[in-house]
Amino acid sequence: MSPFSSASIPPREGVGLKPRHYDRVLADGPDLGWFEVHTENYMGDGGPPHRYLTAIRERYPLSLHGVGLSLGSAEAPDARHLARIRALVDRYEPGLVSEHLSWSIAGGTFSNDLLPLPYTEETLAVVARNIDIAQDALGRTLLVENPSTYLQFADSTIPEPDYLAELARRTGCGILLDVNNLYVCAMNHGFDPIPPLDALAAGPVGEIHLAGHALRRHRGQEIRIDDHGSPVIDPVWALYERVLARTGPVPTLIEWDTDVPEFHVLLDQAEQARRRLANAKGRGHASAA
Amino acid sequence: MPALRDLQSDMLATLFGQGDGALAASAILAAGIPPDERLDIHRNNVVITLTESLAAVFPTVKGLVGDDFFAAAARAFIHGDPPRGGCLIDYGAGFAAFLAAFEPARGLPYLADVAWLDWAWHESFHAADARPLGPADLNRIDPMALTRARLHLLPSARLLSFSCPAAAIRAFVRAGGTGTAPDPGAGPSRALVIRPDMAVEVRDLSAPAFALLNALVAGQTLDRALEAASAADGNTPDPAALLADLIVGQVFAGVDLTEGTSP
Repeated sequence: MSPFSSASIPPREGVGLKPRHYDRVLADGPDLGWFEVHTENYMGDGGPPHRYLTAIRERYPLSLHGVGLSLGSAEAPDARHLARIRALVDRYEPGLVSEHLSWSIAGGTFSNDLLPLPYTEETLAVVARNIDIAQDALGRTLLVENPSTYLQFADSTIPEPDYLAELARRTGCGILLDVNNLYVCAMNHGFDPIPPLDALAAGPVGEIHLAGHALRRHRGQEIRIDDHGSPVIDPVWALYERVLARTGPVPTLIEWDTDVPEFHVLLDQAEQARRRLANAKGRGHASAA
Repeated sequence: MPALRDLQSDMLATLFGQGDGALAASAILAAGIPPDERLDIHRNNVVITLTESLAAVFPTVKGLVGDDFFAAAARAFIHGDPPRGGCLIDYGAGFAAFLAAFEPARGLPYLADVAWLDWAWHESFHAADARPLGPADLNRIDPMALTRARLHLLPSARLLSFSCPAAAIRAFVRAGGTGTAPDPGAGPSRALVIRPDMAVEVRDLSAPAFALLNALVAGQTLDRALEAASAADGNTPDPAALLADLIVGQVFAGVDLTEGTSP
């Protein structure tokens, strides 16, 4: 018998759970649909992280979002890392489990950076194999997130929306659409984000991420860095509204990972997502379900 | 286009300061910013985010040496001893040993000890939870059987011995450098880092208390551990009182009454 109530993530707004907000969340019980955590932050054996996460999981559905599995590595996923994710899946019964369309590990060394892949038939086969391995080990379907990138490979031949849709087709995985990441890529590489947004298959989109990013200058050229350290900007809200019109309401996360502000700032961002989710009711594939 | 494995191997190496990443650069579109400068964005990301991770685990080291020195030490450590897995809770186990041999830190002989203490705190914070035994639990055991028993410490317990007053230095730095600064040359010290519930505690240990716990951690029976405590200091008043203090201090998680010879 599960100690937790509902596991499934509602098509509502959620926020990334940060240690500085643990006590506030438990004291106030904010009206949010769910919380998400970085899986690796709970890979210790015990202590305050698990005490707090258990208490919060007793009150809210939870999503586990990994940053260390490296689905895009030529080498297969680390079996020990998968076992640690599996232990957390068994312990917390998350409604969603997600990872990134990127790589971080080569030769067993971990860069702690979500590095871009060339979008080719070769890498598509590698990532699909790794997702299969991970989904088998976890006994769960993964959501896979489109990355922010600062470079492109000359030989990338497959458009990102097609690449994600093909991964979903081959492995049964879902898509975690990070609208901010798509915008960051569009600005960094000089393309219009609307065509790839419109081209993305709506059916597999199981979660949306929203965050802020930083604008830096590199020798006179602007480069946008996905630092999750500021509010969501208006062009990203506009893209979010546009995709919601196709998908209908989808679980939507406000991410804020650097210079984490007071909790009310995150609640304000979540409220802005909530209004847009309410407007999307009756639209898209979610309404047909 | 190089094979994915070769591309990733070359790119990862250059992110950690090994090689120029020429193979990776050859596969990257220039488009306004040269490929090597695009790789710089990731070289910076890697060092900055891993430095932040180390700073969170080694706050006392950072407090002692300041931001710039810490960043330089972290960068050298990261390049020489990068993470070997995708969970950063595990990263930094080698930092204290690195600092002990780090040439620019030669004038700070206490720095490595403080790093060991920070790492022990981090391990204790994340260690498995266990209910500490109290006096009532131990009073139920026949005293003769208890002397031949092996006592297990909490999973969060870490025993440390230092050539400097590391715990006092840590307390001073963590308090923001207020009060009387401890003398780093004051000589050896010992500490127990432990988390009986949710708060990690750093406790000074006397030489006999350290000897007692050290013997228990090594798997010795309680009578042998008490002998070790007496031997550690000829003036030990009463090893039994020492043991009683440790029990009240919520140090133990279990008693193994199985008969057997001490290793």
